[in-house]
Amino acid sequence: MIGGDIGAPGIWTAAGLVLAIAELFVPGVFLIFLAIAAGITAALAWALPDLPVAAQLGAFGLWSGVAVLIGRRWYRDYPVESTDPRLNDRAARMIGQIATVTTPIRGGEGRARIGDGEWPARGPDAEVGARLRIAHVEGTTVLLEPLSD
Amino acid sequence: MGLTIAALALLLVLFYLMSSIKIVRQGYQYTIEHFGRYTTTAAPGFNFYPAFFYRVGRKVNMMEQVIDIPGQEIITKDNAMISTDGVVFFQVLDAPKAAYEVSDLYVALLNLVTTNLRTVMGAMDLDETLSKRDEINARLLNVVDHATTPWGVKITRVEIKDIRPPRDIVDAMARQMKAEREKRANILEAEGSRASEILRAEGQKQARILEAEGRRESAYRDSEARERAAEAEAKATLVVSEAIAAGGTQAINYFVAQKYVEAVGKFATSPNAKTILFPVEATQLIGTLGGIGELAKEALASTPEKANRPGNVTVPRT
Repeated sequence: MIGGDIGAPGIWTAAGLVLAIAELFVPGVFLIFLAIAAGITAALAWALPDLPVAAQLGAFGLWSGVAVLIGRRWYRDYPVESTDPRLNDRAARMIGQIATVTTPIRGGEGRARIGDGEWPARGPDAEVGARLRIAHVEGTTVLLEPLSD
Repeated sequence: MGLTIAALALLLVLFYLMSSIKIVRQGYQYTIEHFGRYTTTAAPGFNFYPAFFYRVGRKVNMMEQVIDIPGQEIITKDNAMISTDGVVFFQVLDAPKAAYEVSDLYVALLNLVTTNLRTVMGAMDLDETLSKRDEINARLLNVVDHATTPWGVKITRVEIKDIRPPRDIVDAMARQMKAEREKRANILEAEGSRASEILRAEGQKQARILEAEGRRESAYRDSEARERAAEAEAKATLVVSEAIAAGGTQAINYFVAQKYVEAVGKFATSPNAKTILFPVEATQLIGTLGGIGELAKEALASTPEKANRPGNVTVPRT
């Protein structure tokens, strides 16, 4: 069964390559870890020719787990930075922009125009047309601060 | 036996790892539940949450999205029935709130906007609904913002796509517009004809004035000419009368004879020379000629000093 013409190391190597190729077609960063584990298992099978199949499978499973854990730690310690980390984070993007008051801010509550839409606003009292900077966004409410010249 | 267990164990490990790795695509955020309770949100990228303990709860789309508001009939403030439809743009700002605070976000938003659209447009006149789309959007946003804040969703804009008043009102609008334009055209025409009439009258007035001025001028000149003629006549008469005073009857005779001869000459040259009326005796004429002859004699016989002074001719008695 396992063994055949090319022997266990060859089979594991082939499995690793197949997994690596499958990784290219299947979305998700999972199969590459299995490919790494298969590669390690192939090395083991080559180093220990009389390793039983069950042990080989066990080694494969173990190395898979290890590979995933190492990968996770690697990603955590050396995260791949996005060139635009604030993508899809509208609130974060708006901080620092200038808003124009459309409903006078009284008692800290009003509305302001940002871009082509109006947002609920909180901040110092201001008349319609006043221009304030967005200091922070809380839910769907923007917190405004006076322009610091 | 051992091999089967080993294979099953391997499968379990593989599946476990597979379901523990959560790859989140950009544009989405996954809520992670720990035994059914929300704990954290998985950001785009590679995430590892051990299976059995953690599950993906909801996959929240963080991109700006569009919902079509189906067409609906709205009765405006002035009781016109209009059918309208629109679109809503919204974006999730807070994934867990959008996932758990509201049961079905899309349905909730759709119904919220649909009902408020009815409210806002129902408070406006037909003309306002047709012309004040910006205001409709602003008012709608103002209302729905309060509702969507707890859901962590911001409706960025509401656009009315189409407002269709009923056919008969559209026809009436078209008629109104046509009437307006016709009215303007008529007014312009009337103004034009009025202006042209005024201009024409002005022209006529100007012409009459000029004509009268011309007449006045010519009358002045005529009267001046008559005055001059009268003056000349008077002078001539004066000279003649002076001559007569100096020269006596012979001088008058001279003048009369001159005229007589002229008149006879005219008779001779006149085209109807067949009949010549002589109202006076020819002898008289001859007599005048005789008078002239005598005058000539006297003139020739007189001294050169006297001849040098015309108008002071002395006629000796015979």
